[in-house]
Amino acid sequence: MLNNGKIGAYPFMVLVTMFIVGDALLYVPAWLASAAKQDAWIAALLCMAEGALLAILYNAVAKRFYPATIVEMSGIAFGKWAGAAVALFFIIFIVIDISFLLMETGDFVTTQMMPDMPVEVILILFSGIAVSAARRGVQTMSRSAESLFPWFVALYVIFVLFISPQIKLSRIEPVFHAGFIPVLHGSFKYLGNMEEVVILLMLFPFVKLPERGTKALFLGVLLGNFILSAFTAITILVMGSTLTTMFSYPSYALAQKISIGDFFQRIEAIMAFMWFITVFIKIAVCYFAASFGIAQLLKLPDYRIVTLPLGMITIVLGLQLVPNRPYFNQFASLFWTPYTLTFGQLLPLLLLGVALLRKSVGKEERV
Amino acid sequence: MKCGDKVNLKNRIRKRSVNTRTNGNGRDEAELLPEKDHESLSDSLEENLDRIRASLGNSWDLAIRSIFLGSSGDIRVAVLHMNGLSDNKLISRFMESFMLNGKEVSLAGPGNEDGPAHTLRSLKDHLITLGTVEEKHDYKAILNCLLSGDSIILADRCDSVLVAATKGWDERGVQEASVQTVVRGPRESFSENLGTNIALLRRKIKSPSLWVETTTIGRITETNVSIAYVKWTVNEEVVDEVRRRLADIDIDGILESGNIEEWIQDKTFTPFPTMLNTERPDVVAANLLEGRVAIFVDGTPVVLLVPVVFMQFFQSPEDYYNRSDFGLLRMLRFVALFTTLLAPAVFISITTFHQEMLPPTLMISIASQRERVPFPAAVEAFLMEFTFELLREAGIRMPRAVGPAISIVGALVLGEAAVQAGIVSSAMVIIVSITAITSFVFPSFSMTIPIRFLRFVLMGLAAFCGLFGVFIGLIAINLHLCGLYSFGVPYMSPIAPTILGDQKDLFIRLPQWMMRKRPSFIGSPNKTRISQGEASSKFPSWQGDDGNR
Repeated sequence: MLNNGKIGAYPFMVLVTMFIVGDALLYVPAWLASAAKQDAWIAALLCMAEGALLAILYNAVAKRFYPATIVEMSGIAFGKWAGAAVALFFIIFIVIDISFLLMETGDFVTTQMMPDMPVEVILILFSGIAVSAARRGVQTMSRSAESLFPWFVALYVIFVLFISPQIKLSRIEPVFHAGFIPVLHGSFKYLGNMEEVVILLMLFPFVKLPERGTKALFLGVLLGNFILSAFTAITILVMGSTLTTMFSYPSYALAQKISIGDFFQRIEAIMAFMWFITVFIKIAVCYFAASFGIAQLLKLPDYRIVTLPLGMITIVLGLQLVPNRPYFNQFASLFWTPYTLTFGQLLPLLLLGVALLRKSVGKEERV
Repeated sequence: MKCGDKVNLKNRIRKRSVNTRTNGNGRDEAELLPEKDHESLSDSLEENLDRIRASLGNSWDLAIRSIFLGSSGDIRVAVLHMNGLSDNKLISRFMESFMLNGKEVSLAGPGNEDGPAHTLRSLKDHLITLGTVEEKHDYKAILNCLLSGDSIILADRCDSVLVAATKGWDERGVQEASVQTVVRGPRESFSENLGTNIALLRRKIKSPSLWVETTTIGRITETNVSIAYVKWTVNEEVVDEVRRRLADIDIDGILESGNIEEWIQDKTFTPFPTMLNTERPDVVAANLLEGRVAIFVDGTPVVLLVPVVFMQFFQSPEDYYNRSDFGLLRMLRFVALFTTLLAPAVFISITTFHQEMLPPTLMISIASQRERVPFPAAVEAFLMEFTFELLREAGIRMPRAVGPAISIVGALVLGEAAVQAGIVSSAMVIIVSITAITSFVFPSFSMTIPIRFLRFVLMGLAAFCGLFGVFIGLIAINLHLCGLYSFGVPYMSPIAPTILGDQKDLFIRLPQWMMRKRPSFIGSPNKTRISQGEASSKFPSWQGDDGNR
């Protein structure tokens, strides 16, 4: 029967897709538009190509070291102490990422949906279910993602269909108005989100067949990016680049514009569910990755004992890291991409380089 | 299997507590029967009768009839049965035979080699006009037979007895299903008799591969429990698991299949049922054909089926008897599921937190209704939902005669008058009525209970933090469901894990001939339902031959 702790390729693909869409759905249009203006959709497509390249890199690393997680990989590649240090920094990276994700949710709910609600309540509720998802293990988490994915797709399709009457093609003209540089700049901001996929390498060893897992990772990255690109394009097509840049949550503002027959309108709270679903999966995966990594690093018998303290730490850390929204915007657009590059680009390249140089490394781990 | 071990552990813990309880009271059944009672009988008839009388505490329903047989009337024979458990006609028939031919019984056989034992043998071979007669020695087994309605025939100077199958008591016959009713489909339902129930099943499945195993559970009630499966389709692992879990049950009494369900379910602290119960033989037959295992318990018409998945609780047997409507009715049930679960919660959160979601005219209408109401929407909703749950519970428990009174109180006093008095708004009455109607749509009653419970949880979350709270609640329910198992099968399959082949019979039901395979999540070794040849001849060649006529 199916109770052996491993997950199939399709659930993994769903996890990857929902991870990529994650929090990006809500503000990526704004980031892209702030740099690339009406060419934001080109920047998004460019990111799709970047994402595909990244996926190839991650796949190479994951396959080479299967069935090792990033934490074990760094131990294998860099030796005991250096490896532990790298793993520690990697885990800190995940923890910071969780804190930001939580604060994004809290900020969004308190500023857009329920202004009277203390942000701490939102954080506790949201991290509560994410931690409980992480505690139930990869299998339950992936099943949850699988069962939520159709809902996400349905909401997305409804969203796109309902907003499509307001599309005006003239809003993306002129194409390449300022050349290619702003487009590159825009895609660079967005890259930070893509690099976070490296966290999923903590889950890769749970995939039953690594060959199909790599395919799933690749397809998942492409699908997730497609969803984001299409969404960016629609946001620009409906609101134009200036308006998109002005909103901190352009897609939420977009949902407010939906109006079918003057009755079916202001359904943005339901559309927010779409975003909650993906960000929940992303946070849950991150919680699992962080606690599983800590357990592997400290050789704990069970990762579950770490999850609850981790949940508490991330809530407080989030409140400390993000004092206000402008600070977050500044941080996210200036520092986040370089920071993720360290772990999303440099670390896998180093791992792969070491593995190629010392030909034996990682080989014996292959099944 | 991991979950199996957990059950094992659970049972061990329970066993310990059961033991301490019985020791504390000092009234364990084993202590009630003296040590010698497990041995065989003595030679003396009088002694044996006294012993049986003493064991039963001189219960008045024990009937003893002594007669004398043999050519000189010197062989004393006693016939024992329990009043009401045995068929008097059968007993009088063989008593008649005793009276008419009793003289032929001799004390010893030809050559005198057997002595007294010959008496019983000649009774058995020549006089008892019944289908099943057995010779027994063990005292405990004899008592057991007597108490299940068989007649015991003792003879003087014999240390063994004859057990004649004379079971027969008044029982409810096979009647129309009262809980799971259908418009099209067989009407019959199970009764309280295990034998009748198995026979009802065998009349549906005539194959020799329908196997029935029976064990006895309950140290005092000694209830017969049968597991039935179709050998050809069943997953052996599941059968072994069922056997193992049943064997682990150590309790004094089993009165209904619910007692068993609680002992063998995978997870105790869940509102969701992980076993399907049904009173319909056709449902059991269809499930056995798909590879499930049925658990019959003597004394109840409710049969358990394992392993089941969440979606099965929304499938009615009628879905398969009516023409395939491609799932319109099933879709209706899922809409009902979300309506009954969410309607009050969403109403609370929209009127409290997200007023902008309502079109202005509707919002003004609701606001003007709520103007006179002194409570916030959440209090109003809790009040009305609670009242409705009370009415529903009262409707089940009340004596039949007062039924109309309850409906008048419910409809007029609580509905009409509450609105008139300005205690609740009429919009809330509409919401509660919709919730009530939709909660009766599900084919399985056991699924309505968790949904009723979770509705209140979601209402609380909605009152607390609006649609965000509802979202948190839904995700928590989803996580819980995804972590459940029913006998090793993930509860949410075939949705999660996604098994596309099994989704032919999920939200929609495809035509029968398209569902070639049995559901694979059960792990049936023979996957094909329909052989290739039959399926391809689905469209006969004469179709569309109008031109030839």
